Amino acid sequence: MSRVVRTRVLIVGGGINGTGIARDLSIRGIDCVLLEKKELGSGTSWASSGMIHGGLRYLQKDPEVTLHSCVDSGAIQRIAPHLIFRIPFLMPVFRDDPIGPEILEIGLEMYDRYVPFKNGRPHGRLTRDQALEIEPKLSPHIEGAFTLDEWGVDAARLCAANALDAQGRGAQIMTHAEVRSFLRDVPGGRVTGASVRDRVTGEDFVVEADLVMNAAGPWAPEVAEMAGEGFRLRPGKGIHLVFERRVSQMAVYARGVDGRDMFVFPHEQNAMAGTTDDDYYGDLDRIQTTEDEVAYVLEAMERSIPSIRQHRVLHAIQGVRPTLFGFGAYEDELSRDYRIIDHGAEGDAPGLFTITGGKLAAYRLMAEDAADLVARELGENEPCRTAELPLPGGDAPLDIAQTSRRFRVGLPAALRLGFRHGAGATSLLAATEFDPSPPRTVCACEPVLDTELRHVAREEGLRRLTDCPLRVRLGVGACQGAGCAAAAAAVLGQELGWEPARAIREATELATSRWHDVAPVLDGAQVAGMEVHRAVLFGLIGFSESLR
Amino acid sequence: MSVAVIGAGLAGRAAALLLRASGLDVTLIDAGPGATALGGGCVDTAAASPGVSWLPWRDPLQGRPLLPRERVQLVVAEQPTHPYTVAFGSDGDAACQAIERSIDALRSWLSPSGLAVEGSLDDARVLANLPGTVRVADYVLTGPSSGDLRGREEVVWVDVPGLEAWDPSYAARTLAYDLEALGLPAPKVRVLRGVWPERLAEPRVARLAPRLDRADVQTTLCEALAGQGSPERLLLVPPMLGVDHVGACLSRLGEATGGAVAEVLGHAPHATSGFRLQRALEQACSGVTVRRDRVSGLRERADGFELQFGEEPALDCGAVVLATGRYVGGGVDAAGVVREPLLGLPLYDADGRRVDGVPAHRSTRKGYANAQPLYSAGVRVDPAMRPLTARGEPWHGRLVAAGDLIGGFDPARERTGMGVALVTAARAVETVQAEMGHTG
Ligand SMILES: Cc1cc2nc3c(=O)[nH]c(=O)nc-3n(C[C@H](O)[C@H](O)[C@H](O)COP(=O)(O)OP(=O)(O)OC[C@H]3O[C@@H](n4cnc5c(N)ncnc54)[C@H](O)[C@@H]3O)c2cc1C
Ligand SMILES: Cc1cc2nc3c(=O)[nH]c(=O)nc-3n(C[C@H](O)[C@H](O)[C@H](O)COP(=O)(O)OP(=O)(O)OC[C@H]3O[C@@H](n4cnc5c(N)ncnc54)[C@H](O)[C@@H]3O)c2cc1C
Repeated sequence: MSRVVRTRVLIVGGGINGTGIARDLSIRGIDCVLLEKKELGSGTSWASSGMIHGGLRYLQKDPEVTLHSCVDSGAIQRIAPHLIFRIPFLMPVFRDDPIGPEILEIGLEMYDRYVPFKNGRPHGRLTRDQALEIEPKLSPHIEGAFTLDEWGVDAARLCAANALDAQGRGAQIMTHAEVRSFLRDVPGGRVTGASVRDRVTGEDFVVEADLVMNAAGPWAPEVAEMAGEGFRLRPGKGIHLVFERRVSQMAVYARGVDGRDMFVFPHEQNAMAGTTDDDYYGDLDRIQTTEDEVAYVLEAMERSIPSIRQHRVLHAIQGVRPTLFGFGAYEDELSRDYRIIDHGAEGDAPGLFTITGGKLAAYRLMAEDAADLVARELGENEPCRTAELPLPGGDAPLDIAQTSRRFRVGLPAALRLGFRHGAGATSLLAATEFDPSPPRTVCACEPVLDTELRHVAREEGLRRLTDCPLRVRLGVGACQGAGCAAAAAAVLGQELGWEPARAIREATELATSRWHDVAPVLDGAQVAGMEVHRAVLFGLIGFSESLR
Repeated sequence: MSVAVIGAGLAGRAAALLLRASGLDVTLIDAGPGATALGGGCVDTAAASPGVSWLPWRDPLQGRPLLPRERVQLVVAEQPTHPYTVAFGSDGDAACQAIERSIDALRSWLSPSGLAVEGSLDDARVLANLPGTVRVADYVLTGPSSGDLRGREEVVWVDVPGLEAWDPSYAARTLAYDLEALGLPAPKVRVLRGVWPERLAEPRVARLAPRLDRADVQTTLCEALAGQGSPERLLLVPPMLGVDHVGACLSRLGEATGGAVAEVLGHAPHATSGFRLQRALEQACSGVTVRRDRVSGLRERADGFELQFGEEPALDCGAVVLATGRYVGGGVDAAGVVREPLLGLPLYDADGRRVDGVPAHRSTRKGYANAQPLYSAGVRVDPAMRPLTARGEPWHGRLVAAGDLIGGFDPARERTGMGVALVTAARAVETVQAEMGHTG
């Protein structure tokens, strides 16, 4: 007999929607279990631009999306100020732009009306010389520029923060737990739970629930299909290129050969450029960036920043948008809005609901909607409070200088810890405050301290080394894990009681997953970078099961 | 007419020293350090590479550990594109003799700097890596060389508080586990805490190592570790016991502790071993004419070559040794497409496929640990180490290549990198000597 876990609501998928719903329900006191087949946020959420933007590009076709995004951007800033960073944008104006500056400015003036909702500044207008002074790498062919204000977020950490808050209120969050099939009370009857496989231990178990919420992003059709339910998305693949450190001071707009808007923007310690939008019907678990996509992005960026190819591309990120289906429309024109499907009312699977579509920036509102519906179904009437209650760490600002002094950690480490954990950094570091030696740096790129790794293993339920790039941004900097894979595997090995063979295997898999993201963009300095990477990791780890 | 050696890594410096010893007039072009300066303290000539089927650490039939000499035989039997095979055909004995001669030469170059090259083709050393995994090595430099784990009763990891990427507790477990997997008796492994001097607590190897070159700092460490050793006990410390004086530091520590002391193996930035080798080689080359510059172009002339240096004056020479390395060194460039930047020489991977002229990522395969064509790519040479044109003819009679620039092997995966650098340099020099009418 396999283990049975009982709950009221089973949530499938630990992206921003699944974790957002888990938090909302938990605050309302509704018991839930969240199952994520990999790591929290590892699907579309990690692949996003991480922008809590107001959705300027949707203004014309879908102002509703813009409004949602702006209002909720403000809410996210309130509840998780530590995870958010301001991204000032610069929109260069070229003579041959299809839309002239006057019309553009009318759009921006319209957008200005939404901007106060997200604590943004209204747009500005720069002369050519002003723009080049701020952003010297801009093309000398610009005629002027506009500025506007957006916000960025660590999307993976935002998922983790929602999940942790839910967990703190009694929800069970299980990662590496894959839903394999649904339980029905009678064949073809009500959905009453799911059969689950733990992908780390191999254990099969069962979760029984009054209601199932499918929040599997682009996988949602696949999950619904397990209950015999069919619905369609129009999956839109998008990639980003990640550059070492900064390319520009501000985010800079660029235009694709097909006229699409793209940008290169500062993101955490690095810079990203993207994104693309193409129909995708391949394997969702093996998405790979292609040569054409890399060329398309670089070519677009080159128009705004001619020297873009001199920057070192560290790796690519790729994902698929769960876009609602609209037949025949161009990819970009498809709706970014969301739907909640009641498979009892609209199909033959009562007890199963699917939430799909939407945007990262509007996750809180979507979760509220979904949780309202669940609460109604379950006869509960606690209201939503996710816009007022802070996420873990968001309750008070962290004094970086004082944290650095008190806990004997460098300022950069304190700053980044504060970014990921907010006020929670204090209790995290307090665990080693009186140790004879200060925390050790495991990954110098970020930097990541061993204390943080121990914390996420002990307190956040982190299970695998390959989760660390998302959870603590280990191995996503210049070294791509060469400097830290072995050391981090050792720290987690100690915490999680791994046999040495397991730790070596984890380090090997981290290298393999980094290679997946690096290989498509190998060029210039990064080819030499990976030559060193291989020499170091083959030397330190050996990559051999044959020894054993 | 003089000989120009382009590239001042292990291959280029070995070539320059051999050329000078044979009485030829040589100019070494030094554009700064490459892969040699990043090495991990082993001079691998035929070390065991457990991920590579033709470089096993154990005899697949009899199960006993193989000697490096036997692995050289396997290389020439199994890997036709490997530079050893290109140079010696299937004659493994000749390859072994060449390796041994080259190592003897290296020993003589490094000894004035106090850096010894320990080991032989008839014995393998079992050494600890920084995370506690073990490495079966053939030749090893002073520092890690005294760290053979075989026959030890007790191994003690000395904790250095706060040091980046150094975490002895789990490493100790891994070490015991890995030795058992090798079929070797596992010694007692423990961690020595609380003795490291507070003055010497630094997070970065790069800051700590130069300090330990100073006698007074060594004294502090000796006092702290005094009496901690014994003849049966091996003390393991991080790879940071000095840059220029590791030998002195180790022997003082040996005396003070009363036992064996060694560094574990690590790589830059968590180790200084490669810098030591680079510095010792630079010192060995003090009598060689060195031009510190980067060659920007190489032009053939009736009587030899013209080396160009951008705006700087050109250099004429009668023969050229190309020892420009791979991607780290800069001998192979991959901006846009993979290419050899000086002459546009065709480049081949270990399976003999051409890789130049195409974007780097097209020469990759899925799976990090698999053979990656991109990383076995380099020029193809004849047995005299002359780079070949696409038609298989020598590019020029007096143009030879040495080291990582030569393709057909993967230095990271196959652990023959420095061996190839030395052996190909020696063979290239023989060719130049013959061509210039010199006999050493
Ligand atoms: C290139 C790109 C850029 C974007 N940029 C932005 C942006 O800047 N701003 C913005 O607001 N939005 C952006 N988006 C959109 C945004 O990322 C998505 O709308 C959002 O992340 C979707 O979240 P989700 O939780 O629905 O899906 P996901 O994050 O994909 O989560 C679904 C999860 O379900 C899990 N799962 C699947 N099957 C199973 C199963 N059988 N059992 C258990 N778990 C399962 C998956 O592993 C996955 O983690 C972007 C999207 C892309 C692709
Ligand atoms: C991180 C790392 C760790 C390694 N560890 C080991 C190890 O433990 N054991 C081992 O045996 N091997 C190891 N290797 C492999 C080994 O380092 C190489 O195989 C060997 O050092 C190659 O020597 P080389 O002289 O051919 O190349 P390099 O040392 O790279 O030298 C090439 C030189 O050419 C110069 N150059 C290039 N172009 C020009 C130009 N146009 N003009 C002038 N100069 C130029 C460069 O500046 C450089 O100094 C390691 C490699 C790496 C990257």
